[in-house]
Amino acid sequence: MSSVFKALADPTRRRVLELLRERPMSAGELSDAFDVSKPTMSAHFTVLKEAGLVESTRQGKSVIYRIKLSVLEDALLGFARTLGLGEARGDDTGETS
Amino acid sequence: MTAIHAGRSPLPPLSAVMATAALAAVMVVQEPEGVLVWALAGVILPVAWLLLEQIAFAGELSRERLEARDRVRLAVTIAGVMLALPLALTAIFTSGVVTASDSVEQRALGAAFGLGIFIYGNWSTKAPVDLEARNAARDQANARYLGVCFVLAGLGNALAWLFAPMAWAPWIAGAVLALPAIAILIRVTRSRANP
Repeated sequence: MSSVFKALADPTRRRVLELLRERPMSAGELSDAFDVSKPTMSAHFTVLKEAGLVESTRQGKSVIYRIKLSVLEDALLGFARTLGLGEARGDDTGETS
Repeated sequence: MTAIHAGRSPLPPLSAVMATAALAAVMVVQEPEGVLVWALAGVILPVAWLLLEQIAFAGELSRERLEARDRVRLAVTIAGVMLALPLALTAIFTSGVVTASDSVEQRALGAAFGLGIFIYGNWSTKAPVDLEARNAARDQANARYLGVCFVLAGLGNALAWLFAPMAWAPWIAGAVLALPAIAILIRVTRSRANP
């Protein structure tokens, strides 16, 4: 459970989950939506995978990410966003779009 | 297509299956006159589990088959929990360890049923959407909608059984289940009308 809280405490990871809630996306598509380096994005994906909130599948040359949020985890995501968890330390999402 | 697939552990469904079988065995001892019902409750899930694991999903599996197996394992876990909860309560009440009036027993079993629906709804959305689906985004949205409906229905049902006046509790609990069921039906009908 603590891994879920850790994953949801970061605004970038929350934004990744919100994007994946719309539809499955490739790692490239997700990275393009943020103004952060690929290794940083990769680290975020690892945290999300370890928390069991996303699943990755290789399709040809790209890796597709799909969301795996339970309803309660989804509600937690909403609370974390409303409370602005992790944003107080000046850690913005670095989103480009 | 190569797979990066950790796979869902077989332990949760196996535990749920074993718990159901064990509780059904306890009930056979406690209430031998209902042996057929308890035997059916105790045997159906282990048999289904064995057939799935040893026949349907045996051997080397493709990514799609691994994902299908994971979805089935999640469904078996949830089915096990939904069977084990009322079985455990029935076993407790019939053992005489806990003495309760008929209305308390009815409330507890009703609340356990609601809790089962809540658990199912909550975990049902954990199954990742099928990438080969024609409209994965819509399937994903529908799955989330269904999950939320089940969670609200289960929670409302359990609360109705726990707190509503006994004369009204079955009616309120039923209505609380019916409303999300209608909402799901409308959503599914609309979804099929616009493929």
